[in-house]
Amino acid sequence: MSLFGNNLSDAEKCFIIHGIQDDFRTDGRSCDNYRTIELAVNVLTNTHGSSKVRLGNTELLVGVKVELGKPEKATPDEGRIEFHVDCSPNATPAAQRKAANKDFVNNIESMLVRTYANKIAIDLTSLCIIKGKMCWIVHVDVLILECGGNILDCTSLGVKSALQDTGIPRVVVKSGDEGEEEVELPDDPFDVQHISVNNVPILVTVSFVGTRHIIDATVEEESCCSASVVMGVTRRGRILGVRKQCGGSLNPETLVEMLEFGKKSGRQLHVALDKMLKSYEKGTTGYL
Amino acid sequence: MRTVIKSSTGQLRLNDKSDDFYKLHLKEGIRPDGRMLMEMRPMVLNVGSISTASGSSLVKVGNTTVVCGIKAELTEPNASHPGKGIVVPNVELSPLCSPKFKPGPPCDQAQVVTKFLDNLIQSTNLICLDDLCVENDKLVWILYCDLICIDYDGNIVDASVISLMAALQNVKLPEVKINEECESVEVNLKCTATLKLCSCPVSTTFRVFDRSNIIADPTSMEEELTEGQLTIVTDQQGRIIYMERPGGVTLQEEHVEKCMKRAVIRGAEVQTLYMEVTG
Amino acid sequence: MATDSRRLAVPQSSLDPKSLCPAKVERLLNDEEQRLDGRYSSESRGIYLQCGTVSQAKGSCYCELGNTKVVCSVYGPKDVEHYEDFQMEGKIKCEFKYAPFSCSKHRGHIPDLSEAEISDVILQALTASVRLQCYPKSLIEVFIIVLENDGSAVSASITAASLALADAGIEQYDIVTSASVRVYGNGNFLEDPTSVEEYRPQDFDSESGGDLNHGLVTVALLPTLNQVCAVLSNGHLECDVLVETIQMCTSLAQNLYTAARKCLLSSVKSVDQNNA
Repeated sequence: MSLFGNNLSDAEKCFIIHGIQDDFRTDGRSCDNYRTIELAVNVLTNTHGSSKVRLGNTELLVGVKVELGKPEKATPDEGRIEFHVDCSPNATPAAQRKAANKDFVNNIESMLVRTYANKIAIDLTSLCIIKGKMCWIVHVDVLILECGGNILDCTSLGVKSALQDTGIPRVVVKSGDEGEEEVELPDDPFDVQHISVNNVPILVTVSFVGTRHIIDATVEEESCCSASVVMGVTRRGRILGVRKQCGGSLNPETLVEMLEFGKKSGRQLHVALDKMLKSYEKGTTGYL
Repeated sequence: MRTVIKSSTGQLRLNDKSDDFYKLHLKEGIRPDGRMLMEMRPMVLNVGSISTASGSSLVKVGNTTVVCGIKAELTEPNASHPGKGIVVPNVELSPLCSPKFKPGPPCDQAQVVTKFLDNLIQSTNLICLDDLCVENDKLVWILYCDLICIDYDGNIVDASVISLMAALQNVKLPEVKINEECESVEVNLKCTATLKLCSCPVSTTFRVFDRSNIIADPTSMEEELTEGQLTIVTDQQGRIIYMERPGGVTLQEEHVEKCMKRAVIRGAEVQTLYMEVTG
Repeated sequence: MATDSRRLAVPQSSLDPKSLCPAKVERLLNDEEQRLDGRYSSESRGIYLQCGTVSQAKGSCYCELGNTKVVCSVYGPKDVEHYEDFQMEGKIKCEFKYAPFSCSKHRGHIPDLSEAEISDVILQALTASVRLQCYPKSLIEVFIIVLENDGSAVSASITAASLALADAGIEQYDIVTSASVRVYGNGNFLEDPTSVEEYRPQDFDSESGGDLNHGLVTVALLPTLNQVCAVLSNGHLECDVLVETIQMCTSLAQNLYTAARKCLLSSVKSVDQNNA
């Protein structure tokens, strides 16, 4: 996804490509380093879970709200998770015109939907209240404040943190009048249950620039990359979805190398994120 | 080796000399593609090739190709007609079939043809809607009739009517019952029934060139050169059941009579084609 | 369904009668290693390709892969719509759509998220192949419609789109061919899956790891250059299983090259015969 298009001159692009070849990127990182990630959870009071992530120049807010609803006919014992991404036209020039904004946002939403559409990411049966009649629908809303490259990775970090922070009210199913089941919400607002995020994927974008692959590309590096691969990696190193982006082509061997590289980076990222989230578990107040 | 060089839109471009070009042809009583004024293009009809649809058909009238797929699903009936099924036609003129159409919501022409089909279905009582009712006020069949034009070379109206009729004759509905005790719907896919159609219409479209020449079955280029359209719909007994004259230039009485006679002959030809294909 | 003011009103929702028949498919491979349609796991369906099917388009292609039917038409090169899009390299626009009657459940007319994603994937595959520097300030439009979806619709569409571009005379580095493989448990790979064989999470029980090594992988390839230009996968796969599946898809796509070439040769020959 090249965001700034042709704002870089050929000489600048050459400089970036040569630097990457020598494992020395323009901000001094090596090819397998992420930029500093700043994360805060529980930042929005009127959501059930929220997080704010800043990865270099990329910043976004994720809010999770749950509501009661009816399960799909095909899956009566499962709840649902729905993603919605919003990008302010201020965030990036790529999202200024309406059609381009829609494409930009659809790109992120579809990758999230793809990596969560399986049995392992979220245990949807835990969201079921009454089989066939009532379930929890989890709405994950992402608001992109600033886009400085690597938006997909940042989004997935935010989504995992927000889901970890989400507290779903602990409902009690009682048999009411006329034999129909009734649902009772708890009085205590802190009587909540959490969704297990053990197998939630993190998206890792591996970009192929010149002759080497890098992770966490900045906007300038993205405009030099010929091809990139986005993959959803779980903590155990399983792959939940792969998609190639950018209109270039890859050698099959390079593709395999990039997948292995992405898997390794994804696992390391999970370890670092889990450590950070554990330190927040004690019920922290908001950031900012 | 000679190759065909097409323009970027793949078709002949019209300019201000096209009118004269066409007039020269009509003076000799012939059209640029070699047809007489009232001659129709050859037609190819194929039914039942799309297995995911309940009924389907493919029609080629010259180059104009229309695929009709009918999906039969179950839904709650309209509050105003609790015992009647629902039939929803929709004609899709996408940019795939011709450079004339832009991506996005349906263009005016597509909406007009969809409404024409809707009016035809309702005014001729084409499908007995009471037969589509499973349980009064609870469950009815809804037939989504989607006509996708794959290649647009004029006369979308005739092609749509023919493909819709052929697809409807091809529809097989499974047996549906409502189990009173457990309030569930039981579907028996092995026991299927065809639709009962009260009528079998065929439409013929004519266009007016220069206020005095009537041509039948216009191509895309002829549609742009002519003004005024007349569509006549006949049924299996050769009676005229529907006529549409959407404004434009005036037509003289003898021209209308000539068109009606031609439409009846055409109707009979297409009815034999229906019988042959649908058996 | 969103109400569309330009189309006739439809009810909010309707049920597909087939979904009310609880015919859950238990196994895709029986004891004799045969699939539901009688094929073996390493057998692809026959492919039929024909160029020049849409007379109004600059280039077009019709592809049949088993029961899956796809039509693709190409228009261009023509002027870009907005002056902001003026670039020294051409631009390709790709629109992919399932026909409302092509899948088991009736689809709406407005393209949804999955169709937009597939349009983007096909666009990436074609961008790798087309020589865009030959078409400055120009737009090439590719429209794809799936008339019947019986599995592998994305791979059939990519192959059809590339052949339609060739039929339109648009310069490409190579024809793009594509293939899909369904990963079915440990060590089972079903080549060219039908719609019943494609991956669906609701077919699995919710034990931990119940759907491990189940997924669908689609790869698009430039055969003579041996370059991968699109990869799409879903499901729950281990990394080495994913790698093995991608290599399998690559060799399948490589095999399609002869069929694609034959199609182009016969279309050029028929044009020549028409002119002579």
